[in-house]
Amino acid sequence: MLNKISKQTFILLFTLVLLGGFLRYYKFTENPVSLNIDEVSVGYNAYSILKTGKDEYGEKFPLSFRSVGDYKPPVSIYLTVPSIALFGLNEFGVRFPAVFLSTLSIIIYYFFFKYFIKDRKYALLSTALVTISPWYLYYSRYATTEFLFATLFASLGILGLLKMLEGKRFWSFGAAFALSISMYTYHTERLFVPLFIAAFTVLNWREILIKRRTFLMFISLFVILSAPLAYSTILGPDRARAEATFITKDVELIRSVILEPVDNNSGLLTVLGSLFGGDIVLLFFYWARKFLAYFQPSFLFYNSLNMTTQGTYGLGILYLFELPWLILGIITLIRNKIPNRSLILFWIILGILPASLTINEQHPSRTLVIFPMVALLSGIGGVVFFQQIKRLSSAPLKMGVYAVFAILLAWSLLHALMVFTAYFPRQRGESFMEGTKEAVEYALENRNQYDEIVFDPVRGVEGPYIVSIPHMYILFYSQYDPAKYQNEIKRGGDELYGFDKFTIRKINWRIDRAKSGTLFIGSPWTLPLQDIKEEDILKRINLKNGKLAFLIVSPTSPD
Amino acid sequence: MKNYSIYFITLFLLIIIAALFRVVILNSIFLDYPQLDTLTLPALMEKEVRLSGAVTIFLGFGNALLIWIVVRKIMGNRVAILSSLLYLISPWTAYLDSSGSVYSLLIFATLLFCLGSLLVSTSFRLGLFLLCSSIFLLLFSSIFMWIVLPLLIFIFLSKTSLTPSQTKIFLLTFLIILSPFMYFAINNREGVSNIVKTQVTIFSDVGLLNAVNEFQGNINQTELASLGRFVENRYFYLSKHTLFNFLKHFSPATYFTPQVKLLEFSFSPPILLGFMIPFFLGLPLWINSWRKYKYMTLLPLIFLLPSIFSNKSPDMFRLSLVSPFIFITIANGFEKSFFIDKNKKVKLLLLFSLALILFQGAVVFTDILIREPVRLQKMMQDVK
Repeated sequence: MLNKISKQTFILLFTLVLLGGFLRYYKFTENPVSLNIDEVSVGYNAYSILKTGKDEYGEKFPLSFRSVGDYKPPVSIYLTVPSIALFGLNEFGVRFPAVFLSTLSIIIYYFFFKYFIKDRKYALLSTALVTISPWYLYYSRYATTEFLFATLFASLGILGLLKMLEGKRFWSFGAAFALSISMYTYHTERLFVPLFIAAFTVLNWREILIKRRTFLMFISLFVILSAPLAYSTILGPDRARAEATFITKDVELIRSVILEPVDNNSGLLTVLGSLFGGDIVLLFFYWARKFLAYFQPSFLFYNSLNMTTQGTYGLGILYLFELPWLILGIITLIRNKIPNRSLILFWIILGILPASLTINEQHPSRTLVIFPMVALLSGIGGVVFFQQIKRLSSAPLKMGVYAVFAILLAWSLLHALMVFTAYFPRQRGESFMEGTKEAVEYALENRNQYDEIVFDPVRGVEGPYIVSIPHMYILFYSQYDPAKYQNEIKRGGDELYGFDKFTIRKINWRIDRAKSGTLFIGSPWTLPLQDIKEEDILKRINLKNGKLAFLIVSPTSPD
Repeated sequence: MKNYSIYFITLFLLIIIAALFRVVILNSIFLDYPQLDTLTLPALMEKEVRLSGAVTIFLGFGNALLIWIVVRKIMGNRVAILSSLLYLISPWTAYLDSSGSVYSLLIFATLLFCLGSLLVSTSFRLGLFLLCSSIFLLLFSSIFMWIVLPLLIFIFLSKTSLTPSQTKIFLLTFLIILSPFMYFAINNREGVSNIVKTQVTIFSDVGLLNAVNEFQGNINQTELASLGRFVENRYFYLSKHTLFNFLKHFSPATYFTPQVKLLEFSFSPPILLGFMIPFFLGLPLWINSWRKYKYMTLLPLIFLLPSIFSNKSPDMFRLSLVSPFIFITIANGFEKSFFIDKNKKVKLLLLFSLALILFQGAVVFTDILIREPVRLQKMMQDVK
């Protein structure tokens, strides 16, 4: 493939990979400021698989990792194993696969776009957007390999489907394999892939009829590969996760739309209510609202990535300078006979569908599957944008448009730089459990001095609203022997979890202050500063923004 | 004569449907809650003026009639009837009319303006009378129209072919209407400035400045401090905020789903979801008709301003000024695609949208009878 590209394209691609690599690798272990709950969980489970072939609960090579009850898809954890083996159980080892894959994907997406849209310029600009996209960049810098892997596998699978239609039989195997793997990698693809295959079949039924043998081979292999997953999702443990996040559990839906059962006291109301007032009917229109909400400017351009405080303007999935490009891209898609334009449309609609069926509003990671098409649309619009400016006959007008666009471009990129380097580490540290590592490291260094180490799982600067999983951080940073952890008897009880010297429970300072020989780690909400003697405070752990996150306390003697 | 009787029968039927819809809303939701007047609605709507529900319901019928007359002149009878029907059955305008909002009156005035501007070149006196009446109503009903009106008049004068003497007469009449208002404004400068402050609330959110300050505080801790002062200042941030408010008005969720709750409690969508398909079919027709309808294509952009400058943007009441243009776009898209376009796929799509409209219509109607009163009650408890 590489020998088919021109020297100019090669240089451009090489530059993009260098730039993309820099943007992804630069201080990726320090920013995001800390490993979040999912990262430590993925890291320790990969470590556990590496050492014992079992997950933290002792299950051998599971197809779904129970983890903290969220039943993580397996692929990203298994793909983290080599990295942990090479670099160890640390920030680098956990985050490296995402960073590496994301950088590699820049080249892959170029060839994907080139084949998909059959236009070098569109492909190059779209690849440039992949390189600097805030959406892709954000998820590339921490261990969220599941979104990245799943999107990449789905894209490769769809590429395989298109190649298969050209009569290349080998690609039917490739497509089936890549699409099945994408379903094992992230939840969104479990709905997206089957629906996309159905849409693909309907859109290309004539060609499929001609190449029915190849298509049958593809379908058979796909069904065989996906069968265990289907079983796990419909009847197995993944069902619990699907049920917990399904739209019917949405608080807004229950509290403001469906409400409590309403008495239909008259005959007409009873009839109308049973025909048109049912919960499912309202659910459908509620879902429609959630689906269309993904086309709102707040999601597209403003703060959907949640990298800054809520209510402020941080970063959306696109840069603001892409606004005219996106509009032109959509217009070009409607007006011109662009290759695979129906597929682009279905890809976007079906890609948003799974996310819109869950409880959260506008979820950028659950919709990452549409990322290649959004980048492509924006890239097409960008090329058309420059073509339109070139056609302008008035030189001053041309210069004016260029100048305005250049200002918008510079401002968007500089704003993104500020968000990534200054605001994100200071405003969102808590959601990445900032400070937990320092607290755990202190506890591990001093564990021999205490009979018990109590860690409060609830934290938060604004209020005790954030529930963490300190035991996983302890396992991760102590590199706790997975075999020992799987087999030892844990202490359990009412809101209590313990192993070795560590106990995870809520601290009640009124009672706990009398327990000398115990180390307490908690937020100022459970360890009130005014009630603690200064000499009992062993360490204060602040967030990067200077706010107090944790106190480490050991009562010397009762008052 | 025969043609006109058909029009009248059709319009009569439409008014019956609309009246029924509005009576259901009034009876089911608003009449049971007398405290609504004092507690909730004034806080949700324009504080200065609130009309009686009966008046606004009749104004609503007047609006539908005006839409029919205006649209008939530019797009023909089928589109006109469809547009009126859309006005009458839309939950957006039905709630607006039933709750006694002053925006029913403002829609009436803007439609009068449209009609006047259409007539002024053929029948100058009638056109001038309608224009002046609408200007009078707009000026003395909402402070916001002080901003919108100069723009309206500028575009009207630049796009309409009036003779110099007609332009002079128009401007003179405008000044005469304006003079009592100017007199009032000059003598009550403080009052006027207070009113403007309460209406133009886009930048009154302290959170905006807090956000800029927090951003600058964060940057000052890094090596990008000097660059940060240039990139992250209040002017850029507020421009971004204004653009954000503007862009929000182009999201389909705003118009076709209850993304922004009508009266802050309702689950009824402003326009039924099924109309989204004909809207998107009609949108290119509306944009392409730039030359044909002259400044009429620009009017919706001007009428977006009141909602853009609200701190609750998009404000569905202020935004209702745009509603007639959305109805016209939908009706035009529907008419052209269904009766003129021969593409079978588009026709199938329209049939699907019709089925969805009928179904959702029944759902909304049922919901208004069964659940909407409970939602209102719940919202009022939250306000308390």
